[in-house]
This record gives sequence, structure tokens and C-alpha cells, in this order.
Amino acid sequence: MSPLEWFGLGGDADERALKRAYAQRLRRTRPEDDPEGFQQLHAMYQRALAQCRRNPALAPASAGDGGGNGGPAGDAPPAAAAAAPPRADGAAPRMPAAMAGTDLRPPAVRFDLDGFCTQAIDRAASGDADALGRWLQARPEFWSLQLKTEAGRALVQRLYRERPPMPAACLDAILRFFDLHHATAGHDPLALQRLERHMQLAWELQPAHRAALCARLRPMPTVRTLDRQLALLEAPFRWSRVIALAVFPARIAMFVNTLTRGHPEDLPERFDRRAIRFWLDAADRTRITRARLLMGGIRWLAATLLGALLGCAIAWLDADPAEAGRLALGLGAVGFTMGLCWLAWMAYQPLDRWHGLPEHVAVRWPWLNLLLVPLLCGLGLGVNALLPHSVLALVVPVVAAWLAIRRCWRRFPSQRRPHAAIFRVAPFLIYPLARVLFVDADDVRGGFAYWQILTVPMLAWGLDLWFQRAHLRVRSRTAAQAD
Amino acid sequence: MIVGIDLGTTHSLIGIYADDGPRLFPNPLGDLLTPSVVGVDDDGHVLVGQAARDRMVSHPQQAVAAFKRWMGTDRETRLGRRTFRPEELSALVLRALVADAEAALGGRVAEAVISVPAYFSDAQRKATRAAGELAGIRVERLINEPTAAALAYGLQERPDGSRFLVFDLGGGTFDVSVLEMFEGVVEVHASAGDNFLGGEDFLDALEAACLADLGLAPDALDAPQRGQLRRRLETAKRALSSEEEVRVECRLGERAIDWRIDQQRFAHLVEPLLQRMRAPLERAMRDARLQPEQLDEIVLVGGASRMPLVARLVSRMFGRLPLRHVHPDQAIALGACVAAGMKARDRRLEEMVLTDVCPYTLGTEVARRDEQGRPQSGFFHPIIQRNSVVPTSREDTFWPVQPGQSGIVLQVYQGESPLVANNIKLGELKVPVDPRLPPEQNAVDVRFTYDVNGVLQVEAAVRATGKRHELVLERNPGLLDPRQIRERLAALAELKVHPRAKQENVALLARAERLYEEHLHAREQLQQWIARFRAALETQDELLIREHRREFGAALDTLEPA
Repeated sequence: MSPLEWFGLGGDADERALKRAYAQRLRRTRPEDDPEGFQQLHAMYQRALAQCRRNPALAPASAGDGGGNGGPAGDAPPAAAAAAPPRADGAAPRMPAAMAGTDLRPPAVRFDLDGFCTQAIDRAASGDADALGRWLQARPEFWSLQLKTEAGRALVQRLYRERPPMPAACLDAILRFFDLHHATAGHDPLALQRLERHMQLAWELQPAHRAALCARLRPMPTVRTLDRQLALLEAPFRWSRVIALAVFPARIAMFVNTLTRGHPEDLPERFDRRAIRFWLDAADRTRITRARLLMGGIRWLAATLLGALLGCAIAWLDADPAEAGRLALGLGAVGFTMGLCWLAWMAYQPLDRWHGLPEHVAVRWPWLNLLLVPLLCGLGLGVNALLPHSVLALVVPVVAAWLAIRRCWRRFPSQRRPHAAIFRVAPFLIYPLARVLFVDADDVRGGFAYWQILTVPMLAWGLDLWFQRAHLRVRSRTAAQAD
Repeated sequence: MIVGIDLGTTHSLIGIYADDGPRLFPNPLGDLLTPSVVGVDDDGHVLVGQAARDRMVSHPQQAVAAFKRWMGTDRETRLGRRTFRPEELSALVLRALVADAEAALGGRVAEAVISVPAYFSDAQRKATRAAGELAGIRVERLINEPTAAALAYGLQERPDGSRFLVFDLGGGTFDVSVLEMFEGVVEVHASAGDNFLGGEDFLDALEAACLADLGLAPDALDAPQRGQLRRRLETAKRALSSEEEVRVECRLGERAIDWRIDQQRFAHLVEPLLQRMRAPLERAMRDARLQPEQLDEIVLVGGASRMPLVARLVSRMFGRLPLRHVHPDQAIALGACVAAGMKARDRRLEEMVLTDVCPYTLGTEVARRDEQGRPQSGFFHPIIQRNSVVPTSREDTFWPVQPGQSGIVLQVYQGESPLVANNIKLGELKVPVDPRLPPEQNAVDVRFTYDVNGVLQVEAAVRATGKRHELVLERNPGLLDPRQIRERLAALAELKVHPRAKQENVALLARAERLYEEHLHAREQLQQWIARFRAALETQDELLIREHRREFGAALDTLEPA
């Protein structure tokens, strides 16, 4: 049944007839007496009204009618309005002579939208939001609703396309003037935020606004330092520079982050993406990246070489070649061991992260994630059987215990967990501690049996399972759904 | 008997839908407009209306005005020995109005329809209802002021099949509504407004300019002097509507003030205020999906709309002169009377049906994923869009952001900003979901239902389990609960009020005291007159008092030609 038929009207009924029918039904279905009935009636009325207006035979009669609230908000302004001629009957005589100068009907000459957008963008670039707002308000063309809507749309589209440098306050003034800053204006708020950030950064990076930028990046001491840092970022990616700066990737990355408020993708095109990516990767402690390995390698090589050189120099002063060789070798070995420790530490961090992820996050190798601690304990038993009291046999349960405790701790539901800093150094302390407790004490008190050592990781692991019991997924089911 | 009340920022009116159509009741002084001012006199009696308004000049600490702007807030005002919330102050005005109606009708009035600005928020509407309860009347309905004005206009002109815009610039609030009338149906298409824009702001602009010209800091004048200056400027503002240039001359303490302002300067001063009016007008037109040519009439109401500047703004925007068939001060009250008649199912109004809209957007907070897929919270997701016809009911579906969430919190907001931080929070509903299910299977259907009385009901149903949760937002945080209302009602009942018969005398004395402050040269004379009138009051001889009152009033009129 078509909406018009629902009102008991033929398909060629006009708006007047529809309104009469609606009014009659409305008297029986008042909004305060019958809310549901009224909602249905009103929805039908809106649809019937739309049908009426679509009807080509009646189009001329309904031109100039645009009432109704049923449609979705934020869509285009009524297209019919453009075709609606100014009402010739009543409107003209009411126009007083004094108002003739401010006639608001669509001007005969088409408004230069592009020119207006360019002007607005130029004015916004100056950074004075109040002046921009006043300039917009003073433009007589925008007393016309239709033109204002059109101009607002064109300007915002242009901003999205070109992303000209503009401070956030000016963008806000524009959106406010064109009434586009509200939730139903139909703009994706995230896209708008991105646009705002992007334009603001481009504006700040203009040479004229260096002092303001310097003030925002508080610890940045002078404009000259800022210039140097920016020049460094803007320069294309080159290996020679990477090697030269290998010691400070974290500082560069921090500068990028504060400069872009954590959104490096907002940087203008002239910044070399590859270089930025490289510096950010090199400073990212959560992942093992090529950049990070490379940086570590360079540092490590430099440390080892330096140690060796130092040894050589000391020996040369002592004039004892044998001693010099041994010293160089010794210092080199220290450098090498440091490097190994660093590698182990780097490998440990992602393992710890992966193992300590919350239960509901989809992890890689979920079964391994769940059973890593028991597996390690099993491995420890095996090693101990083959090489009793060896260092390896002790290291395995210590690592297992540590991972289990960390997991339990990280996944604990409370927000009030102790600060995590202690956990960064603790892995290095736990081995000597365990050795003193379990192995060296062996001679004194008879020591613990190996399985007793393994109760620590298993206990922590079991505790964690208990805490997480509400969240434990049936892993096989999830896997099946993923297929 | 249901009365209709216009509870305005500066003036209030009361009336009824009588046999011969809407009729307004005068207060004891014979005026239809009662100033919305509350004060206390020296022996602790509460004064409402003109007497309190005069007292604002002579004793600024003992009277308060424009409290409608504080409705829905916790702000308390000290008057005499106790403090009052804005609801209580409004309730005192309502009581005075109801007493006028009861005196005119000779019976008890227990129910009322009260008009509120269309753009009043949920909290402000609830505060208005609470004020009604505190005044001892049941508020049958709140009607939007522009809608009320449209009812009055519609009844008077019977414009069939026409669309018009009601432009309501009152003392403290600005409202716009776009309506259509056909076959006895009054259909509101859209409302928009600004709750902090009204005649008072024009006066503020004038005062700021005057003080700046005289080289005075805003706090250089003490309260009585400021009250006096504002009164003079108010008169000047009114005069500027008809005269090219106005001169303000008065003595404030030691200072003699002589200040001139012409229309052009005034227009320049209030230009920012006029610009602020554009946004609601444009928004209402856009929401109604209308172009200016498609409007048949523009109706101006509200006292401040008398300024020619306002008419000029309207003509500039709509290309035609606004209509002035209805009385700008009374239109809303007359409309409220019509609404009261409709509520009382008056036979002559049964053909009329009114459909109104919800002027603001209602929705909840959501998180959105940015380009890196990280969830960002704090975004407003509209469910009932502004200017939806009420009653309305809309449903939307939400999912948990993260896997393993044990519940979702539906934060209910009212406002237009895309960020919830800039909107008004109405309440929240916690909906537990099964954390073991992946988010896409954890859908929660949320339904917002908004009824004609402005009560919002939020229902949530978890799709997986079919469990339902409900939240009815009847009381907002910061507003009075029923127990507090009962307590406050009892406390208000203890306040002393002058008997109706004596109110004219009280008002006359208050006026004389104000004139005493304002006219330095006539102080001795005034003192004598006041003493003589007080002596007459002491005699309690009704005839003598009436005689004296007439003489005293006439004497005061010579000082202050109307």
C-alpha cells in the first residue's frame, strides 16, 4: 500500500488533500494521547508528502514547499529550493524600498565561490580568527541562506582537498560561521580532527611562526636549535647521516612526536617519509625492527672497536705488545658480551609483551601463549636430567618463573599495580639470587630438589589462570569461527 | 480550571481561556505585566513585582531579577535572612500570579500550562516544573514560547495553509520557531535559539559603552548607583527605538552624568548581538528545509523585538518586513492560555492539534577508530536528532570496542557538539555483556523515547541474551528530588507575604523609596510624603488610606512623568 493510499487518497492527490486527510486523522490520534499511533501516522505523513512532491504531474504545485523533518539530517540542502521561484504574490509588496539594496534573492551574477574560498584561506593563513570571523560576518552575500550553505560546503571541501596552512582557531571560526561544527552537520569528527591537526601543523611549520612553535615545544631552547632539528628531518634519507646520528635515535623520535602531537603522518610532504619512519622505528622499543637492529649493531660495533682501540693505546704506552693484545681482547670481549646481553634483552621484551597480553586480545599462537610456562618447566626438567646442576638447568626455571610472574602481574585486573620499572632490571638480578638460594645453599642445608624450584613458575601460572577464569575463551571455538 | 502562564525573564503574565477567548488577569496594581523580580522588605515580607523592582534601586541587596537565566543551576541568592534557589524565586512569582488569577476568578487555581523558551534544556524544563510544584500548582504542560505565540497568532488571524517563522526576543532568551498551520493543525517544523541572548544583553552593551565613555571601571559604582544607571539606560534604550539621539542625564552620588548616544552608535554597539541572532535563524530554516521565499509571514514577539534594529535584521535576512499583528508582550501569555484551553479540552479548541519538536539532539558517547585502528573515545553519537517531532522513538545498535569487555556504559548526552565534552550529560546506563563473546556478537540495541512532556526514556537490550535494561531520566543531578521539594514547599509556606489588599500601598512606598534614591533635589519633600502616607497607614482607616494613596501617587507622578 502506498503512503497516499494509506490516507485513503488516490495516487494523484495533491498536498492540500493530503494535509486535510492528515489533519482529520491527527484529531483522532493526538500526540499526547496516543504516542505510538501518532508516530506511525506522522511517519506515514512524511512518506506521503514525499510521494506527493515526487509526483511529476503535481511538481509545479509543490514547488516552494519543503517542510518536514523526517529525513536524515546532514544531507544536501533541498535541491528544490534552487528551482523555487520567489513567491510573486505576497512577497514583493512587503519588500520596503529601503531594503531594495539588500535584495537577497539569488543574484543574477553567479557568486565566485572559488575566489571566495581563496580569499578566506588567505585570510585564515594570517592566524587572526576574530578578524576572519568579522570578515565573514560582514559579507553581505551570506545573508542568503542558500548561498551560505553552498559556500560553506565549497570551502570545507577545498580545505579537505588542499589542506592549506591554517591555525585551528581559524578553522573553528569558519565552521562556526557556516554552522558546520555540530554533530548533525554530517562531517566525520575524526576526519575533521585530522584536517585540523594537519593544517595547524603546516601553519606552525611556516618560517614566520617559528617562535610560537618554539614556545609550544617547551624544552626546545632556541629557534636555532629548532631550525637545526627541522632541517635534519627535512633532509632526504642518507646512510651517512644515520651512522653519524646512531647514538640519538630516541631524541629525534621524541622531537617528531612532540612536533606532530603523536601523529607523524601529519607532517607535510616535503619531509622524507622514509627517514621519519626509520627514526621512529629505531626508537620504538616495543618491536624488533630492522632500524633498531641496525642502530644497535652500529652502536655495539662502535663500543667494541672503541674498547679495542683503548686497549691498544694503553698497551702502546706501556710498550708491552703481549699485554696490549690481551687488554684489547679483554675490552673487546666486554663490548661483545654487552652486545649479546642487549640482544637477549631485545628478544626478551617482545616475548614478555606477547606473553603478558590480556586474555581477550587475539594473540598469535594462542596455545603456546597459554602453555609456555608449563612447557618451559618441562624443558627445565629435561635439561636437569641431562646436565644436573648446570647453569642452563637453573636459567630455564628462572626465566619461566619470571615470565609467569610478569604475566600474572600484567593481566591482573586491578588498576593499582605497582610501577613497572622494577621489572626492567629484575631479570638480571633474579639469576644471581636464585643461584645463591638454590645452588650455593645446597652445600649448607642440603638445598631444594629441582622440582621444588619449578613450583614457583607453576604456582604463578596457576594463579593467573584463576584470575582470568572469567575471560578464558574456549580457544578451539574461536579458532573454528575464524575459519 | 487550567491557567496559562508566561514566566518571563523580565515580566510574567497569567491568564485563562475564558468564554470569549484568552483573557489575561491584572495584578493588584492593575497591570497585566508583573515584573519577574523578587525582594524582601525591612520586616521580612516577600515582595514580588513592581514593588520588588523599585526596591532593586533603593535596596539592591534585597531584590533579585532575571533569575530565569539561572534555572537548572544550583546558584543560590541571598535575600534577607535566607537563600533562595532559582526554582524558589520563580515559585514566588508564580504564587503572586496565581493569587491574581484566584482573585479574578474567585476560586482556587491548581493547574497551569507554563511557557518556556523553546531552547530550554532538559534541566531547565525540569526546574520550571519544580517551580510550579513549589508554588503549589500542578504543571500540566510546558509549552514552548514561540509555539505559544504562534497559537495566539493563529487563533487571531486564522492563517490557513501557511508557513511562518516566530521570532521571539525576550528579556533574556532568544527563540526561533518555524511553523505551519493547516486545517487546525499547528505543526512546528523546527526550533532553535540562544538561552543567553535577550534585551538584557542589549542593556549590558549600552552600560559597558556608557561606563567606558565616562572613564569608569565597571565596579566603580556601588550597587544602588548601578541600579539607577541601568534604569536610566533602559529608558534610553526604549527611547532609541523612536528617537535619533538620546541623552542620559542623572546624578550618581557625587558624579553628574551626561551622556549621549545616537542610533548609529547603538547599532554598532550591538552588532555582535545581532550577529549572534543569525545562527539560530539560519539553523531553524535549514532544519525546516525551507528557503526564505517559502515563508508566508514572520511574526515578531517579545518585548525586545520592538527595537527597530531587530526588524531590520529580519528584513535583511528574509527580504521582507516582519509582521506585528500580535502584541509583543502578551502574545506568549495569550498562547499559553490557548494551550491551557486545549489541555482542558475546551470545546471551541477541539479542532486544534499541536505537534511540537524536540529542539536539541539526544545521543550517547561512542568511541571511533582512527586511521590506525585505535579506538578514540569522547565522540557524540546522535540518536534523536534535533527538531524531530515529539513524541519520538529511535533505535540504534552499539557494540563493545574491545574484545572481552564485560559491559558497555551508555552515557546519555544532550547537545550539538560532535564531542561529548561540550554537551550536557543527562545520565548513564550500564549494560553488562558477556566478555567471552567477540564484540561483533555482543550487539546492544538502544532505544531512546522522548515524550510530549520532555521525559527521555532509554532502553537497552542485549541481543545475545535478550536481557533488557532501562533508564528514565526524570531528575537530573543538581535538581531537587521530591523530598527536597516537599521540604522547600514547607519552608516557602512560612514566608510572610503582604495581604493582597495592602500590596498597592507597599508598591507605592517602594516606588517612593526608589525616587528618593534617584532624585537628590526632592529628598526632603519625598521624606515628608512618605511619613505622611505611613501615618495614614497607621490609622487603618480604609477610606483615609485610599484618599492618601491617590494623592501620594499623583505627587509621585509629578516627579516622574510617565
